Amino acid sequence: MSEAINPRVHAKILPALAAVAAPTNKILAIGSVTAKGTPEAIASVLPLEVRATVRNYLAGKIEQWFFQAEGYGVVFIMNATSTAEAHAILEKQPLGVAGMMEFELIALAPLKPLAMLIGEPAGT
Amino acid sequence: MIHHSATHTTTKIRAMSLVKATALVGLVSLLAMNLPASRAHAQHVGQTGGPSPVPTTKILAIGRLTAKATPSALDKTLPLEIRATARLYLAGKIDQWYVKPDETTVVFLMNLSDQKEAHDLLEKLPLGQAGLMQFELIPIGPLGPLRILLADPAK
Repeated sequence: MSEAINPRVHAKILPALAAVAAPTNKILAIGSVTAKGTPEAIASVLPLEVRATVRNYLAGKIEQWFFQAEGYGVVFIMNATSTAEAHAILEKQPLGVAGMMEFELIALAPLKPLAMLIGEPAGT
Repeated sequence: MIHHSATHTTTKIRAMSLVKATALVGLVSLLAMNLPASRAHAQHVGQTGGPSPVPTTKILAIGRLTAKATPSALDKTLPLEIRATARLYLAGKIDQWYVKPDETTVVFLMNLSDQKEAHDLLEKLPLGQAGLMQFELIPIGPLGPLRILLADPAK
């Protein structure tokens, strides 16, 4: 049994959490149409967009894909380690090139607060 | 039209999206949502040329710390929050969970099709009850545009 003091148990919570590495491994991309993205304009580009999206999915760049049920825009969870990397992929897609779609990008990491639950068990 | 780079802050990008969405509201009718922070996008669905709507299979929940979330307030509440969140996961309500690296934002994919149910569950979490976190809820479903690939194969 380890005699070492577990810093996660004995230190204040926030600095201890800072010691746990949970790097960005996914990017959440929420698409929204721009003013240029009228229904007619998008409809003409969509066949190319869908094919480019499928290619990015097959290449493993897009891990999960959804469509907003209220509103108009995709939601992707992308395999990327920075918003810059995700942006570079998405801006090459046809709707991005045409300036008809823009993305809010949120960097995601595993749920680091779970580290609060993995200190030494009580009584050891 | 300015093409935003991802190096802009999330707040700035969201503000620009809201400006554009507001401009489009005048052209299309918008569903009135009484739930907090529903994203206002152009409602192309139902207009000519728009795609058919998709069923809601998940609720995307983006939880952001509020101004009230000081380190001491968080220190007290976070241990309760992570346990309550884990219980929602074990109950099958949360399908996937992520945090932004700076820990100001959580993202959950919830196994729910009802936005109100998502709202009711999340506001009961400790951070929500203490006014330290607010959730934006986005109902999502299958990638409807894939439909255009389903025309019969050319003979």
